[in-house]
Amino acid sequence: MAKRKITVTVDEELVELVQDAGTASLSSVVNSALGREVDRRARAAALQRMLAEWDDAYGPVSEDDAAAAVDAFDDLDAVSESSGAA
Amino acid sequence: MNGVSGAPLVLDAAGLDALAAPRPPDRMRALLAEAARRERDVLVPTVVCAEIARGRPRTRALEAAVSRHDRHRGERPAVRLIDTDFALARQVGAILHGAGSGTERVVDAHVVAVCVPFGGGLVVTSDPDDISRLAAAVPAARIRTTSL
Repeated sequence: MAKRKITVTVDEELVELVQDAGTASLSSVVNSALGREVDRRARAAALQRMLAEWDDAYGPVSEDDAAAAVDAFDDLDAVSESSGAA
Repeated sequence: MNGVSGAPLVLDAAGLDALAAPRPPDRMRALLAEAARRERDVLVPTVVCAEIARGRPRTRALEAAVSRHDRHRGERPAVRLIDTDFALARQVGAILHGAGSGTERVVDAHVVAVCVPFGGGLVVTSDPDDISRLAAAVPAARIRTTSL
């Protein structure tokens, strides 16, 4: 794939960490990170489209189901916070 | 930080079957909507597809569910399939060994294993007890289950 030279501004600490890790090319790291972000955004957009199609076809989900989903993720995240991770 | 470092929503066979249903259950839609709101990935170990790809109608529904996108517009599927490479296979083996489980749990162990790099995950499953037993083998990962 053709490459394009650009100027970006990134956190100094991140640059130092990447260099300390012995990474040969900072450009390859930035390129890889951009690729992952593009992929993540494209998948998120696809998920939103899919949900919108279902909403149009079947109407909104019940408040109980929506609340249960929130609770399930809250429970997951609460476990994280109590373990000191995240 | 919002949540478990972006811990994903992970689907086992029951979750994937629900996703591929002609009319996905509201509970599944709600979980996907909450995952979207929290900017979480929706992951399926590719091997889980083997449990759903049974017969032409079901297989076609599965194909549509995991690949609905327009490649020409640079789109991606909403669901990310995680293929089994050596590192994942090694993690699966470690989970089965740690849980004292046999190969009959290899697919469930994949579901648990794909959570590990994220530090955890919310697993949509019809076998919460099995998933929890396997998850106990990786205590550093924060894995929770939910059923439809």
